[in-house]
Amino acid sequence: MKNKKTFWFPLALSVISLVGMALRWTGMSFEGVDYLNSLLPWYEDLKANGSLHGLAEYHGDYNLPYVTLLYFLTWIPASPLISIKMSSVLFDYLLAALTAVMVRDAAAGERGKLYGVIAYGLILLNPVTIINSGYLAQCESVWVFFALCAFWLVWKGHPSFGMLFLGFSFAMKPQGIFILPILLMLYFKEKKFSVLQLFWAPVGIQLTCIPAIMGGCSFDVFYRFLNMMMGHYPFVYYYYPNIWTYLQEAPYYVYGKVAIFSAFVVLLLFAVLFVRSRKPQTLQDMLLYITWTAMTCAMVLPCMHERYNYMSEILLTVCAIRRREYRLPAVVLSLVSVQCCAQSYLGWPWVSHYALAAVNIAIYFYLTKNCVSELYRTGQGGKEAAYAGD
Amino acid sequence: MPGIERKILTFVEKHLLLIGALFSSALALYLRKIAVWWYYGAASFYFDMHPNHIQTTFYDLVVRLLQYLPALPLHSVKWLAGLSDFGVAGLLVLALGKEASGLKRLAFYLACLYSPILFLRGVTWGQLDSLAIFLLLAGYLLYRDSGPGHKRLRRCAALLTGSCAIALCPWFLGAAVWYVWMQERRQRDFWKTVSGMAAVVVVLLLSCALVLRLPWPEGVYSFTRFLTYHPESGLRYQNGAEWLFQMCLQGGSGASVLTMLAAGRRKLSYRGAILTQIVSVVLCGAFLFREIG
Repeated sequence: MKNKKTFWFPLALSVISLVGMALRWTGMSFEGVDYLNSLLPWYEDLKANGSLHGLAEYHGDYNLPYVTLLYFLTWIPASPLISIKMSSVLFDYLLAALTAVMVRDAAAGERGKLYGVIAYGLILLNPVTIINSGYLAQCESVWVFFALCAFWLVWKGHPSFGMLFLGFSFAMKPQGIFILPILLMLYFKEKKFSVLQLFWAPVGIQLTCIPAIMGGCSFDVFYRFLNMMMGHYPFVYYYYPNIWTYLQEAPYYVYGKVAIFSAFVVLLLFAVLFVRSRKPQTLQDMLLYITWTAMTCAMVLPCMHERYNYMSEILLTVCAIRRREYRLPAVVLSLVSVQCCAQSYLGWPWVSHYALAAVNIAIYFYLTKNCVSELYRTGQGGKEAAYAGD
Repeated sequence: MPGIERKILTFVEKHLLLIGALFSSALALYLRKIAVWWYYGAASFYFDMHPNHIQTTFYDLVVRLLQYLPALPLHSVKWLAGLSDFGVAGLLVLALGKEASGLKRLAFYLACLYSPILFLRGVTWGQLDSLAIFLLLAGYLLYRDSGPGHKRLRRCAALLTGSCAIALCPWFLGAAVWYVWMQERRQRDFWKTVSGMAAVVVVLLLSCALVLRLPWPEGVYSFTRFLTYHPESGLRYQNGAEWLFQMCLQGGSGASVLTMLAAGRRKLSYRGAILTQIVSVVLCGAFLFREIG
């Protein structure tokens, strides 16, 4: 009986892993426009150069640490399409495993393992992740994995390592910064680590740049690159269906600042609610707040591409495991993402971006209402408890 | 964690609401700085004093005086409206009363500051509703909080500010009279207050007419013209629907703020306040962004 009871767990994981790989394999031969126009030429240049010096010659718009990963992939005797995609697939599995561990911990008790397996399956079998790594050869799982590692380590009381992973995440893709708001909120609320430990993040960034520096890049290559990329795409709207979809023609030099300032104020106000809330926050709550803060960045910041809301799209499905009210929004959000990618890479014209934006905004406001109302209610406390109806 | 860091964090946590309010106010100001450049095609009809225009002589005088400021003509009016929004938000917070929690005050402050109707009517369109609402709320607070100490003085101040609000935007007369009716227990006191208000309004309007070198009856007529004439064309309303639409448009911002206040003081449901906002915004947006021939 004991064997039967414990047997289901590795069996379920194995089946999910195999099905996940099979689904990704269906898209292995697909060559998306980003692969053809960017990843493949960079790969070939690095391979032709044959040494780390190729990193100094790189002139693309992906962060150097990721390009360093591409360089190491040139050592593998496989086609670039397979090796690039499989590196992303590897991080899909790592991300799924990490999320399963987090959900298992959040649930605790008997059902923890079951929820962990469900989370593993939801990440690995989510069309968003399958398309991203298996079809488009993108690397969203890489930065999301490192970002969630950062949060997990901070949550577990290892802030220095957490910040190191924050640095890794940010080094891989600038969207890694989307995890920073929740880390800062934890810092303000719990006061369990020092702000000085944030300096481990630049250390993490520099660690990922070591091969590039050895290849001839300057010591501050990452920051020079970041500075160069700022304002490289001066558009408030850049194909992600968010609030700026309705203001596509708005000039970036004015509204770009509005977008950044608005995102900051929205997150600050959420931080006010979060810090003042008297309710002890559980891991389950934190996953929801990570979803919301990441989605705030994707919905409000300028120049958001489709794929930038990746973290929210996959985490919302995980939040929906135990919270029924998020199941429909999670499904719809994933479908919106699939439609966005299909529009960009396959030319599917079925749904207008205005409609997608409206759906996204509705989901965002629904999430906001749920997150804010709970924090607002528990933040009243004391003599205002009589006004709990407020 | 170093001791100084803990002290800073404790200080920040203690003043978190204030920090949130400050940054939100900065963003609200920045948004108004952008919106002030938006031009409504028919804006000039509200300031050109054409025959049968609906602005009172007090309104006209305020606009005339604003032209002495070193700013573009319409911008001075818009900035007065925009800055009045902050005043309205502040007074709304005070009006919530001491029993309201810090979070509730911040929430209402933000709701008022980012109210779409105030934004549209004020800094986008260039109407001085916010200034009138500010004066009305000031009068309300002075009247409500007039304790035994300086009751007569505060009541007089309330009368003055309330009258200025009504002289600026006559469509707020109903709200002011209704409030006085609800507060005064004796009919004699009610009539005394209302008569005092009427006297102040009349004197103010007549004085403004004289300052503007207009015939003095213009001061009185200007008070009631909003009921009869279209604000842009100066023609009589053609039908009831047109009249109702304009009345809702003119009173929308005041209704939104007052229902917000009522909801905050638990006299009205939040749904009612939100519905009033939505209806006002839809009407205002439909009028403001229509195609102007």
